[in-house]
Amino acid sequence: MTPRRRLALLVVVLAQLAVPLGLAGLAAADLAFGREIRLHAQPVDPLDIFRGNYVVLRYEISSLEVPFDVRRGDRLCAPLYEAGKNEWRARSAQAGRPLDGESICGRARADVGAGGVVDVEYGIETYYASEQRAKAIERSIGSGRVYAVIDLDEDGSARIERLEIE
Amino acid sequence: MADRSFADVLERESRTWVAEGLVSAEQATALRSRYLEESRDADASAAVREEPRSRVVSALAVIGASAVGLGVIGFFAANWDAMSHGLRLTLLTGAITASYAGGFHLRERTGRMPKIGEALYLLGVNLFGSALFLVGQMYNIEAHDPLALLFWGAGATATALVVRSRPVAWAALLILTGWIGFEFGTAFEDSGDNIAALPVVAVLYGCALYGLATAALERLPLDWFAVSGFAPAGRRLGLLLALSGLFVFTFSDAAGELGGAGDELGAGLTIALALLAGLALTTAVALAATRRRSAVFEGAAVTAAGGSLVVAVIVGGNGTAYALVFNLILAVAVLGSIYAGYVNDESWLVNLGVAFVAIDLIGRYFDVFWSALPRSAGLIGAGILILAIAFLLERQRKQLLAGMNG
Repeated sequence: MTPRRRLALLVVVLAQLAVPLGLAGLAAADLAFGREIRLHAQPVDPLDIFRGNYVVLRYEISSLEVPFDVRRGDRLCAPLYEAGKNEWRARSAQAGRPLDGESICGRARADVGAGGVVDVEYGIETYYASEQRAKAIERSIGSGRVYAVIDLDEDGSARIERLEIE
Repeated sequence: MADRSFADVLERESRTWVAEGLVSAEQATALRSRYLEESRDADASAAVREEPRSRVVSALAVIGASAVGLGVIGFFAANWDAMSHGLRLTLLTGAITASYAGGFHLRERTGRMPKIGEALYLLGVNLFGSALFLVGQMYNIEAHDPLALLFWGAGATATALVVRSRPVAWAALLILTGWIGFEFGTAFEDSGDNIAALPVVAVLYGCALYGLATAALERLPLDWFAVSGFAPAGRRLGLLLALSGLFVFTFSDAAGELGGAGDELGAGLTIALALLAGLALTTAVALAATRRRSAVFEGAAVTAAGGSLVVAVIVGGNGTAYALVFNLILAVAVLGSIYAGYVNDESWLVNLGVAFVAIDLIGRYFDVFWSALPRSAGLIGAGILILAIAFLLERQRKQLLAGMNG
């Protein structure tokens, strides 16, 4: 192997190390600096909660009323308010992010007319866990309420930090 | 003529020279070729004897690398909570580095175990993909799902080009093909589960890949590309996908779906399919302009397969009529593959063509007779047909291959 190809191999390997480390760094930074909120969550399929080692979650804010026509894929933001016991909710979705207060943003999943209810995807619908942890969560979900602790960015994007069961 | 004992001594000594750093692995290969050129006939027969053993070693090494890659994912899944994020990342990056370092040592530095070295490169690529998916899970990252495959495929492609390894080139192409399938599959699902359009992608993408790889192999005067393994892998994978996709549309139900497929596609998907069709037709022209003995036929076959699909998707119409057309096109493509393999001395084309003749005949049997006969009679008939096909094809294939070797 020529010195030039050795150098190219080194660059390729370093790039393959940098990509996962970079992704992890960005995600860790989001979690470290984001605003933490709690949302009431429930598994989409109560009979088969964990598909392998992840659970698909739905929130009260997953379906919201919109006062205008929405097309699939449109960015929508939901202004949040604290509804007691550190639980956050939203009443409706709007096209842009409001200037003050907390809000969470996602994408519309279908075309909906003004005054209708639209399903919104926020990127916090899947939670991964190991097999053991998944079983523990499955057992406790039956006996209590599930909350997802979410880290919100300034631009309204969200990431699940952990699940809490009461 | 250099005798075998000299060849053996040179073989052994040159490996020692590489191990001691006196010459590189490439220089050792060049020296061996230089001195053993006169004994080409003897070497050729030795190579023929060595080839099956070498393939077995390669296959075992590739299976081993894949098993270790899967094992790593399983290990992380089973010990998820016991490890901190930092430890997981350290183990993942350490494993990637160790695989590549091991591959480099065994294949390039000492040259002692090139096949195992190649397998370790492949393991490095697999671990890179595992790291992407595991990081996504660790931090619950929900990005555009197929994107991880694109990153993985890009990394694998870069590795394959630098280390010039066929198994890694195969892996890179399979991952990138998976990415394209995932992208189109997701888009079709979003546009109303338009499943009939997926084999269309297989045909257009397969034609483009086969045409591009064949034209590149013939026309690009680049040694590094020729030894990277992309061209042979692309040709095999491309033809396999194109023939498989065409086979689906030889059934009238599937061909009927195809007629209406274009109506429900959004603008984005229509543009993506048009680009893919354009690429397939462009590579058909490039393929026809090569010096291959069957160049014009191959270019025409790619144009016919891609063009007729585009017409069917856009114009729509009767499924049975389209099924007849695609039966004809598949027959031309399969027999043409055997012809192209024969005139260009490429046995894999003959083998693939013969395999598809058998698949198509069995498909036609079930398509035409299955519902008309009682099940037990149908099974007996199918069994006799398969045995007869196997007998005839094996005899014809051996005759063809013997003719090529002679």
